[in-house]
Order: sequence, then structure tokens, then C-alpha cells
Amino acid sequence: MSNPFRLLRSERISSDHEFLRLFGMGLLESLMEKRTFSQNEPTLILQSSPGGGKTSLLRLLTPSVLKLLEQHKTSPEFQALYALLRERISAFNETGSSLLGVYLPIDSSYSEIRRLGLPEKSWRMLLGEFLDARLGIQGLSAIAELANLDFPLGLKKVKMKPINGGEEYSSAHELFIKLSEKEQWIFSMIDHTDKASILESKAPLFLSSAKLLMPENVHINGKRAYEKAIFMLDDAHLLGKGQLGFLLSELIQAPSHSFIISLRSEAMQEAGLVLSGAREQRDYIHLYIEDYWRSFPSKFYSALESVADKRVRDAREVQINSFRACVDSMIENPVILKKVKKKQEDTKQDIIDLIGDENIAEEVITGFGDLMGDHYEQLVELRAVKILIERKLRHAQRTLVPPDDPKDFVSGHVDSSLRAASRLFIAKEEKVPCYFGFEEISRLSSFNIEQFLNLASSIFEFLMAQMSLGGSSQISPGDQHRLIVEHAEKRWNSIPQTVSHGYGVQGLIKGIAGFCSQQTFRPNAPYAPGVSGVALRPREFALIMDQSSSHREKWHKELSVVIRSCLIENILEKKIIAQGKPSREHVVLYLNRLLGVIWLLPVNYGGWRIVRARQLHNWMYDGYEKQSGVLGI
Amino acid sequence: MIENLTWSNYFLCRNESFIQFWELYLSDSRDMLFLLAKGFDPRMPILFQTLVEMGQKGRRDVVILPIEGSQSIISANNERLVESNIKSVNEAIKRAQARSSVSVLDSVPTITRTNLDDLLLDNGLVNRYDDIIIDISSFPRTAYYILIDYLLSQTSEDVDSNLHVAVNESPEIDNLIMHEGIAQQAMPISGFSAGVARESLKHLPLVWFPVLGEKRENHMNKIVESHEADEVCPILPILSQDVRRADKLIRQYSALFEEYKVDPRNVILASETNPFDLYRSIVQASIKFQKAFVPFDGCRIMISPLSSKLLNVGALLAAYELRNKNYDVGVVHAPTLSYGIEKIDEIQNVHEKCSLTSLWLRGDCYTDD
Repeated sequence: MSNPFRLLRSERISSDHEFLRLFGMGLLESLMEKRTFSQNEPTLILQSSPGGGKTSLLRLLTPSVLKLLEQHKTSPEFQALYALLRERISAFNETGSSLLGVYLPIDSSYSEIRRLGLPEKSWRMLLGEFLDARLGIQGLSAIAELANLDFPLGLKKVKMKPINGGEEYSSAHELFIKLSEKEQWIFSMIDHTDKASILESKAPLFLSSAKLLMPENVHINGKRAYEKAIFMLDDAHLLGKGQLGFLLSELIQAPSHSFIISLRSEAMQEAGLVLSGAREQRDYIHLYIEDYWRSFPSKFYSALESVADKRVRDAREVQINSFRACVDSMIENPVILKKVKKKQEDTKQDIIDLIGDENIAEEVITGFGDLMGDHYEQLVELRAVKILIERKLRHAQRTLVPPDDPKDFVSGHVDSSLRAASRLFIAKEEKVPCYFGFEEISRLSSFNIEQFLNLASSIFEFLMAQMSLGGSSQISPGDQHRLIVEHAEKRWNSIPQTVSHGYGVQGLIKGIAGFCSQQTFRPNAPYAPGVSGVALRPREFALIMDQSSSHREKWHKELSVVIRSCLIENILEKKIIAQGKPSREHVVLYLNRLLGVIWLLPVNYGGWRIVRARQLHNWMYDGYEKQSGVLGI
Repeated sequence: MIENLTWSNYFLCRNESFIQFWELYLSDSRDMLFLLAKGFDPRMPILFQTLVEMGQKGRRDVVILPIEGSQSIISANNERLVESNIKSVNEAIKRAQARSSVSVLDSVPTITRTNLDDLLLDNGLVNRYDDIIIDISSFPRTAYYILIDYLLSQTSEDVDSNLHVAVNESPEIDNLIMHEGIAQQAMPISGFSAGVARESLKHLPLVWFPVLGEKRENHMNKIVESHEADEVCPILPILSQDVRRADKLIRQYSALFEEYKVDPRNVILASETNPFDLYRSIVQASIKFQKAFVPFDGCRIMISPLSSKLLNVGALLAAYELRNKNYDVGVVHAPTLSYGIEKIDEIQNVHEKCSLTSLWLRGDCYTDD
């Protein structure tokens, strides 16, 4: 059976039609708010973790996909997308697609140039020539695709207008031959079939192909071949040391071409050095995908639902229209219900024991808990009331006269945070599922589309198997919870092999998670719904992470490579949080939501506690030990 | 049968025949250069120890080359293990009372084709010896690919030395070595980039030969993500100690077979212990594909070595041959970022667990007279 969620990344979807059908518009709309792709617009820097959706966005603007969209513009499935691209960025005109999207994936070849041992001026020249040649070749390939010409021979029909001071080409095919030779020459140096040459050019030629490919210079049968050109460099973080800085400074100095540079977050440090001398909006536009989604979570969750629905509809073996409908959010399993009822009784008894008077206890329960829901919801309320009593007892003063007002036994009231904490307590104490329902699954994505699709894939695989055996078209909360934990454990177990410094990452995360778990499950749940992150003071964080600092000790370096690795892979999510005054800012490192389920941590972004960097380092090697010197907030 | 193959006839010896051959070969006076990795792998000194004890007629010089690897928790013991390996090499020389020098080259962090000129050629090391033996037992894949390719190119041009590649294989030790992290993206190995990475060739169909080995699914996924193959020819080992090994690999890589709808006729079976068998199979299949794709202006060949060192060497020889025949060929892999050994105590009696093989790739046995 084919599982449509398995096609996670756009790189893995080979058919353009399939890609279009599975494309979610959410992120595109946000991009359109930032740009119209007119000439002279500054370069757009698209930042995200792996699986954030960068490549999908760029792929949408390539000629083969736009042409396909044009062909299906009247189909209800694609109407909205077509209209958006036509109205907002004029990707189409009356005759068809009018946008030339030139997509160049950056690979390791560029960083090989740094290994040639050339002086800086020479490698910069070579890099400029290399980028120029490859961008030009990709541009010519895109023109052939857009104009339905064979590649490369069909380029003979494409005429190139000479530009001032540049070489003249009888056709685009001639340009292709020249660029191919240039690329081959550079590869002969990379592969050492030829000696590396010191280039004598006066300036890097990076933008010469982009100039040649501007719409006014390219004609077929006497007409312009397209109206707009966008140049997209994907995975720019794979450039070698210093190369990204070179690329960005070239683009900032020459903003006459429409460029999109996509990169992962780890490259922003090098990019930042260049960008700090430039002005945002004027010289460049920066879109950090995960940050954007964090600012508009409801948009993100609705985008996820749309992506998920498209995928379930794509499954051939089962007839389902909505992913949400597949994930049941009511506990009906008789075994679990029996446990729930038993726990209800036990919790009631606990409350009576804590208060010491059955009548007052009854008043407290009815007065502070909402007991209108099903058995599970009632239990959640009861367990929440018990937490309120624990809180009060913690601060209670001994008096000669015993209290008799229900208000004297509880502190605060039951709210959504406390209910969420209560669910976690019940799950821990009675092994009753707590991670189920579409909202929970969405939150477990940590604002990363690939993480969501991966998880949804595991869940959907189970559903297809269940249905093929004649079972229900819904997955019970118990099965959802089990599948989610299994999926999280699988991700956890793969960390050593797939993540740089993976063993150190596991050590650190285990320490942080152990600490968060201990804080979350304190009887009075002081940070309801729980703690899912640790905070460092900004100065300390900067000292650890600043590679140029001379004050760093060995342990700083050991910790920094592991934290960096966690941030790159979205295993930790960094957030700057100010408490009251800006001077009380903290760098909060939240655990990835999905990994948190292994320790029954909350899916909400909530509590965090201040720790010292040295503690994190100790946890990395020795694990977390209770009460290891946490500072109070 | 394909004509004009560099290794249509070849020389390979293994286990007992390894001992027999080298005892006979070293009974003559020969100046020999051993190229070893500055690695933590306990197999690093063994092959040298074995050969230096066989005969001391002539010099037995050793050059220990640097290898790349990032520092991490699992590599904490590596430095100590490296020192112990170098000490073992020196002790073997003392015991055998051989005329020998040991040079540890530390001036660069790792070997690249650029710095091999400085390290080996400019120092006159390549021309000075009757025999050069590259012991790849403790080299990572990228390093031994670069080194063998470099010396094959040098010895074909103007060097008269015999070139041998030797390996000391042990699945038990392989299992004790921990692998950590993986490169962000699959990449070609230096020397074998152009054929698969040139943008101007990407319109040509891509034929992929993944040499399948255990526990390499993550590496495989990285390659699949960055290269869209049109034909896939998975390579499975036969004549293996574990007779079900090929079946197990098919099960392990079922997603690959499913995703690419691999034609069973494309599956290549190659001897696990004879790299020349794999070499010939890949070259033969590539020539057939090249002919079949003539209407499309030919094809590109991509080879991914994901298996044991011996099979990976076979894949390298095929890539070398195809490149020399002007095929657009590339070797693509996703390197592991760091290695280490956690359970050092378990690596005892290393000698007993090893299996020695050597391949004679250039020199006297290939000359007509």
C-alpha cells in the first residue's frame, strides 16, 4: 500500500503533478506578503531548519511546475494557487507562464574550491566564475523548458541580445557551449585532472549570466521569451567558509536582479556578518520560516491541516477526506475507561485524605472542578483540583482553629494550563494516553512541516493497515499515543547516526529532559502545564557560542558544538524571552516537542527554568541529577 | 568480455595465499613504502607488523598520513589509541631489526589531492621505492579513495613502483566502531565529481550503482535526496560468509527497491571477497547502458560505495577505469562525521579476528616482458 505521507520532501516527489497536488499554500501566502518579485527588489533570504519548506517554495516557481499549473488553471484543485501567483507576482499572462524561475541547488562542489589552496582573491574569482557558469546553464535549461524546446540543441532558436561591453552570442546555444566549457574547466581543477589556476580577472563574474538572462535580452521568434526572471539559490549553507559572505555581499551591491537565497539557520552567523552592514528591507529581505509560523501559529496549524487533507485524499487504497477525522479525540476503550473510573475514585479519596473532612472535600470538588464532561474529562478536573490543594498545603500556615471554608483548602482555580498538567499527571500515574487529537499532533511538529509529515506518515500507515483488515477509519487515542511515542523514540534512536555530535546531543537532551520532567511533575505543578525548556543568561550563551572569544574554555567549546548541532537539527528551539524589562532577557532553549513526549512533557511552549551552562555540560556527560543547583526565577 | 580493461587480468591474494605470496615476494631484496592512516582503529599496525616480520631485505619505511574526523564524545579515546598504534608500528620495527623510518605527517589536517603532491610527490617518496603498499584498514572511505586514485594516476604516468592495496577486514571490529553523524548532503568524492555534478550534463540520464552494505540506510537516503537516478542497479554481495547476506540486504533496503521499482535484471551480484569481480561487473554494465542511451546522447554513471572496504575498492577501480575511458562517472557518498570506540576492552586478540587481503594494482605483474 502506498502512503502519501511518505513523500516528505519536495526533493523526493519526482512528478511535478504530484508535487503541485500536495503543495500547501500557507507559506506561499506569507512570502507574497514580503515580495512581488519585481526587478530591483532586494534579495530575499529564506531561512529555516531542515524540512522547513524552503525547497518546496522554490520548486513552485520553476518553469515545469508553472507550466503545469497553467494547464490546470481551471481545475478547482489549483484555481486558488493559480490566482495567487497570477495576481500577486504576475507569474502568468494571457499567453501562459511569463516567469522564468532559475533554480540552482548549491552542492559541495563550491566548497571544494576552498580546498584547492588558492589565495583568497583567486578562489573568489573562481567561485564567481563557477556560480556564473552554473546559474547561466540552469537559466538556459529553464528557458528551453518554458519554451518547450529540446535542451540544449533547441537553444539555437533563442536569440541573445548583446549587452554593453559583453560578448556577443549568435544564439543561446552558443552561450550554453561557452558556459559548459567554463564549468568543465573548473571541475577539472576540482577533480585535479588539471592544476588549479590563479585567475587574473579584474572582478568576479558572478552576475554576468543573470544580466544576460534578463527578459529584455532573450527573444524567440522576435518576441520576448518571458517577462520576469527570478534566480533561486537553494541550500546556500553548503557553501564553504567565506563563500556565503562573498555571495551575499555581491548581491547586496547589485540589487538589480531578483534573487532568493535559501539557507539553514546555522549559516546565519556568517550571513549576519555581511548583513550587519546592510539595511533590511532596503538591501535584503529576511524571512525565517519557523519564526514566522511561531508568530502566527493558527496559520501554521491550518496550513498543516490543508497539507494533511491533500495527502489523505491522495491515498488510493482508502477513501478519506480529512486527516482530522481519522484521529479520534474521545477515550472510549473499555480497558482505559476502567482505569479512568478507578483513578477517579482514588483521586476523590486522595482529596478527602488531604482535606480531612469528606463534606468539605465534596464542596471543594464541586466548587472548583467542572465535572460536566465524560469520565476522562471529570478525572482531569479532579486531578487538577488535587494539584490546587497541594499548592495550598505547600503554603498553608498552621492555625489553632481548623479551617472549614472550601476556599481555605485550594490556591487559585482550574484553568487550561492546569488541565493540561493534569492530563500529563494522569498519563504518568495511570498510563492513560495524553497525546492524541489533531491539535496535539500539529503542536508536536515544532513548526516544522517535515516533522509533521513524518509523524502523520506513521499514524496514517497504521490507519491504512487497520482499514485493510476491516477495522475502523479512526485511530483510537490509545493507538495515537503509542504511535507518537514510538515515532519519537525512533527519531531519538537515530540521532547518533544522523546528527553531528549525535552522542553528545543525546546526552544533553537527556539531561535537559530529565530536568524538565522533574520540574513538571512536582506535586503542586508550579509551572503548569509543565517545563519544556531551559534558559541561559544571554552573556553566558554568547560566551559559549562565540567561536572567536578568547575567554572560552575547553568545556565551552564542547558544549557549543553540541548546542549548535541541536539548533541546526531543530532538536532545541532557541527563543529570546524578556521577563518584564529588556535587561532581563533570557535565551530559552526549548526541547523539540516531539522528543519531549518520551518524557511526557507538555506540547505547549510554556515553562522554562534558568540553568547554568556548566550544568548543561555536566548533564551532557553524566546525566541530570535531582536538585542540581537550579536557580529560582 | 570487454577488451582493454586495465585489470582484465589481476593479482589478488587472501588469507593463506596472502601469507604465501608475501613470504615469497619478500624473500628478494625490496625497498618498500607503507602508507598507513593516523587512525585509532586497532587494525592499523597489524598488516605492517605481519609483513615486516616476514623479511627485512631492503628498507621498510612507513608514512603515517593524517585523516579527518571531528572531535566528539565518542572520539575521546581516539588520541590514546592512535598513539598506541604508532607505538606498535615502532615496536614491530625494533623487533624485526628492520632498516626503517617512520614519518608521521601532521602538517595538514587531512589528505586532499592538492596536499598529496606536497606530502608524497614533492618529497620524492613515490619514486624512491620498489613497492608502495597502501594499507586501507584504518582509512575512512574518502581518504583511501583519494589516495588510491592519486597513486594509480601517478604510477601510470612516470613512476616504476609496484602499487599494492592491502586491507585487514574484521566484521567483529567493524561492529565495535561507533559512527556518529552524517554529512548534511551526499557529495562526490574528489577526483570523481565532474561526471555527476556538472550542471551542463544533468539533462543526461543517470544510472546509479549503489554497492549495498549493512546499516547504511541514512547514507542511502541522503544520496536519494540529492540525486534523481533514472536507472538503479543495486549491487549485492555473494560468496559471502553469511549465505543469506544478500537476502537480508534486500529486506533492509526494501524502500529503495520499491521507490525505484528496481528491475530484477538490474541487480548485480558480486563476490564479497574479490573486488575485481565487482569492478568488471560495473564496467560491463556501464558500457551496456552507455550504448543503450546513445539516442539520449549517452548517460551519466554514479557509483555509491556503501559496503565493505574490499567491495568499495572494486567500485573505485570501476570508476577509475570508466573515467579513463571518458565516461561521465562520479562517486557519490554521504560521509560519516566522526568515529570512535567505546568498548576498548572488547578489542582483544585483534590478530585472530582479522582477514588479510592484498591487491596488486600496478607494476611488474602487468608488464609484458
